[in-house]
Parts: sequence; C-alpha cells; structure tokens
Amino acid sequence: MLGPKPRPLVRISRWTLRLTLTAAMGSAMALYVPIAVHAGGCTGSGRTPGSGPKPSNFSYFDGVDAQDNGSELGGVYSDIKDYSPYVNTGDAGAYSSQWVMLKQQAPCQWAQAGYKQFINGSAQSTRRSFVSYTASSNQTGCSPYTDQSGIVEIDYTLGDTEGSYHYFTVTYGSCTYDCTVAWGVYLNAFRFYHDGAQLGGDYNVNNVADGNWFVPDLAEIKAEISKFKEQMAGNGTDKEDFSSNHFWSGGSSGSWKTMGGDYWNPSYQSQYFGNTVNSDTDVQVWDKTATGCTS
Amino acid sequence: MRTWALCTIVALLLCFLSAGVAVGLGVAQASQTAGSSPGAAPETTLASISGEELERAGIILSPTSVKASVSSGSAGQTALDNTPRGSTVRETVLAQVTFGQGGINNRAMWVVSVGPPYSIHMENGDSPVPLFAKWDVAFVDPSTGSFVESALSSS
Repeated sequence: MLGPKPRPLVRISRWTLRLTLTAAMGSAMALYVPIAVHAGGCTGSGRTPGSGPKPSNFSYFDGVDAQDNGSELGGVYSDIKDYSPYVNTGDAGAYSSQWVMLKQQAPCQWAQAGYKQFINGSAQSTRRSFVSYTASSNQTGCSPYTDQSGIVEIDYTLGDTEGSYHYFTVTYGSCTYDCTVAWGVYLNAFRFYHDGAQLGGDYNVNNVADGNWFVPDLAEIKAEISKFKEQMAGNGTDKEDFSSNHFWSGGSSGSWKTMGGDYWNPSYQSQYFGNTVNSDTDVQVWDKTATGCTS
Repeated sequence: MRTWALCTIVALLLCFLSAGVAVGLGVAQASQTAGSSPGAAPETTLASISGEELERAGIILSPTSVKASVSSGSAGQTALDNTPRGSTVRETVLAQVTFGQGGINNRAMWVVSVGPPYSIHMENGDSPVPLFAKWDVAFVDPSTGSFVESALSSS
C-alpha cells in the first residue's frame, strides 16, 4: 500500500548533494591561492643591521629608471620573474619588493604595481601583488620623500608560482592597457594590471578631495628592500629578471619605447647589489652581500 | 460533502490571508527599503579608524543584512595571515564595502582593522626614508573566509 520507496528522490538528493559538494570544493580550490614559499632566497639571515651606509630601516633599490626629456609618460611595463627573497622573520612590517612605477618628480607623486614579500602574522614568508599610489602630496622633491600623508597601498592575493614570469603594467591618462583607446578622450586615471587583468579599479586623480593632480614624467622598474637586513631579489646564480621593459611616451602620437638607449639610467649600489643590463629591454638584479648569497 | 466544502473554503481563506500578509509585509519592506536611500543610510564605522580617514582612501562602509558563515575570530586570523607580522586585530566588523580603487563594489565583507599604527612599512616611492602605515584593514569574504585584499594608508 505504501508503494515503492521514493528512491529517485533520494538519488536526486544524493546527486544534488554530491554536485553541491563538488561545486563547493571547486569553488574553494578556485578561491585558494597558494602562498609562494621562500625557496629562491639566500640562506642565512640577511645582512647585519647598521653595517650599511644608511640607517638600518632605510630602503635600498636596484633597477633602472627612464625619462623622455620631461615629457608626459603614458605607461610602463615589465615581465617580472617571480622570485621569493629572504625577509627576516624578526623584522615586523619589513618587505622585499619588485615593481614598476610611474612618477611625477616635482611635486613628488607616484603610482606603482608589483610583488611584495613580507613576514605574516603566523611568521610565514608571504608573497602578494600590490599597488601603491599617492593620494596627495605636500612635498616638492622625491628624494628623500618624507611626507607621511596620503599614501595608499592595496595588497592582493597571488597565484603566481616562483620562477614564472608575469607582466606588471601601470598606465596613465588615455593610455589604457595597450594604449589603443581613442586619445581624444582624456581619461585622467591611473590603472594597474597583472598579466593584462586590472588590479582593483581606476585611481582617478581628479577624485581626490584636495584637487590633487599629477602627470608622470619618470618610469621606474626596480627591486627594493625596506630594511638593509633583507635580501634584494635575486642571487648570483638565480637573478631577479625584469624583461620586456617598456614605457610609453609622446601622447597620442607616441609609442612604447624600450627602457634603454638614451632614456634610461641603471640605479643601484654596486657594493651590495648586482645589476646586469642584458639588452635595452632586459635587466637582471641580485643581492651580493646578504648571508648565503653568491655574488 | 458540506464538511468537505467548508474545509476547502476555510483552507482557501487561510491561503488568501497568508498571501495577503506576505504581500503586505513585502510591500512594507519594499517601502522601508525605498525610503532608506543610499545617502541616508547610516554608515558603519570603525572605532580604530575614523570615517574621514577611510573615505580619504576611497573606502565606504555601510550596514549589511548578510549573515556571515565564518566567525569574526576566524576572519581575524585570516587577516593576520595576510598582513605583516607584529600586527594584532584591533577590531572586526561585518559591513557592505565599496572601495573603487580596490575593485570592491558594495560587497559584504568582514572588515578587520589591524595595528598598531605606524608599525608597517609602506612602499615609499623610491625614497630611502621609511614610511609607515597609520592604519591597515583586511577584507575577508564572510561566506568562504578567504582573504580578498588589504588596504593601508599613511594618513
């Protein structure tokens, strides 16, 4: 009298459950972004604090910059090797980073995007992509930049694997990712890209409450350490590589130019760091003096 | 037969009554929603960071009706795993977040404020002098518990 057990419903329910679980697991896997482990860094414990020419918590840089006689620049990009440098677990808040940047030299303002390695709250070496920009500036020159107001930084999850190459791009104005937008439409915003995908939204300098405005005239591609104790990306046998380096100059009639020739300027301190120019579009940097690094 | 018919009528009346109540509640709720324009909605605030500071960075927090699947404690741990060592959780709130520059458009998030202030080095634009964050907030998905992004500012 009760009839057959409603197995189809049970089967559907189980399948629904399985599908739901599979979808949930798939979503979880898609959302999970592995943290790049510290493998490319030098062994040992970085450098001795206080042994450098500057105070121990001052930054050091290694890379290239380029300008075109003060002309407005529309963009900069580099295909950056994902390298996980050593960051001392005892240095709270310290980092080692690699990035591209558009900068206005006076008054000093910038917009940049790249990789950042730091020690997280669970004492693990952690790698993230980031963007940073000045939302205001009260300072004329860039070096040293001491204005503690108006800098915003956003850190994103990162799925890049160590040793792989990824494009970081910063563009300005009408120059969107590949600078193919109609130049008659002036877009007063900076944009940040990772392998062609925009990181976050537009940073529109016109929206800044204080009426802030800046036009970049310098492009930079560099590695950086926030303290002397950390490792600059790269070592003698496994160098940090910035390849396919270009910047846009010349507005609507401009073009992507190589970061070489008459435009650029290698920038580093050779007693601590290496800097090899392989071509107009490729530069490698590395750490010479952190403990365990090979020069 | 009459009993059956009576029962049917009563059941139908109850259905209509339920539907009427549901529609009425829906209309009331819609009216309430329509009446609370975005501009009039009260902002969600953090005790550790002023609304003015967040707004300067382009971050707007507002109340949310979303129920979190992960606890605030779990969100706090996720935040610490994604922000520099030395930080502690100052406070955690569940809010609708709009952050244009960060690519977040009216999305429910755990907003975790970590500190202490001026303990985290910020990117400093190719200047040797260190710059430090006055505040740092991590955004954590309240349904999956995954880290979305963090934003920090020197002002």
